[in-house]
Amino acid sequence: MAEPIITFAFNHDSAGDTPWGYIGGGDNPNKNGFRKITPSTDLLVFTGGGILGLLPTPTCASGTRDATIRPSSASYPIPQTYVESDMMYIAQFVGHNAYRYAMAVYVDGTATSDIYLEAWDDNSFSTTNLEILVGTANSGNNSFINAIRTTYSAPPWGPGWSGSDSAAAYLRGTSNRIGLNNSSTVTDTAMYYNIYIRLETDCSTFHVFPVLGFRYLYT
Amino acid sequence: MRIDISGDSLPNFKNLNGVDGVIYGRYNKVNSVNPYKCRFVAVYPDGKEIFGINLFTTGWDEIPNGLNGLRYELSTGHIIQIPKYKAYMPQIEVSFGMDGSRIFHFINVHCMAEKEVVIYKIVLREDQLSPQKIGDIIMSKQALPEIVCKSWKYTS
Repeated sequence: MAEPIITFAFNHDSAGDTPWGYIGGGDNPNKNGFRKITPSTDLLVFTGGGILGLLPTPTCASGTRDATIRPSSASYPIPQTYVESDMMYIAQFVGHNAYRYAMAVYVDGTATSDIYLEAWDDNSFSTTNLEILVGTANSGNNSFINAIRTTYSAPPWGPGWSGSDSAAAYLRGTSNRIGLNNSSTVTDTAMYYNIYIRLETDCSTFHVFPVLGFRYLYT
Repeated sequence: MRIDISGDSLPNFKNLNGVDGVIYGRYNKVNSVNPYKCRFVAVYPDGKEIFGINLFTTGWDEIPNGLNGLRYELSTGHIIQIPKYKAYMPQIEVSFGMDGSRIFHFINVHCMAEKEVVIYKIVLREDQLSPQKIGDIIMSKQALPEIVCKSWKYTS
């Protein structure tokens, strides 16, 4: 068997928190409001909440950034997430919210394990030293990156969810990660997750490029 | 010799050659096998050998049952001979980044014995923090599987 083909996408549709519908093979991944993420050229950008407030939606010019202001009195989720390619496309449903179909991964073929979403310092996939992954005292020394599996259900909202919820994690290497399908094998399947970054009042100001990676097995 | 990595499928690798490649991290430097140059060799009782392809397209599911031995040949020259068991099922462990990068961590060779599964975890990368080196083997055991999938290949 060969390595399965992994396809990434995000929900750019302003209308619906609805499934991707992609079925792999020759199917077009740009469907039902989702847009394919092209690895090595596209960039996932967490931004907004700074001098400019919120950036324009649904798109804005490539390179647009609004440095989020470090909060002074309470922690603060970075409010906007874009995927940057030829321009910036808002990931409409990504964030600290109860949307289910925000980010998607499709496995075309078979993985003989779950598909684990992990966060690392860089693409050596070997260290987790960045403050965003180590956390601070105010984050309970948890990573600032909160992610949750939404393949089977929307995130809990009571209000809010965090990395401590069921099927969620404060992403940090292999020790804190989420299995996107919660199964021992994955074949020709679409999986979903939501993700956000929460800044703490005791964090430093930073501009970093951690890497989100997917770990799996195949024969 | 330099390898043409078509389509930038390994954008995080530097100096990839016929033996190995380097991945420079912010805090660490990782040496990796060349995944295009690692393969299994299944040996059959009549002396016939079937060679795997590489770590991307292994070719494992296409080989017949009845093998008599199994070994792995890494690009670094390491040859790992797996003792004879009732059946084998190797699993490649890989990380695929949203930036298009890949790193191959281990080949987990599951070996079916009478009462358990013995796992030979063959290390495919080494760095400045981990004591494991390329070609090292980490042994572990687990219970026999309740369901045996077709990727298990039985010995003669």
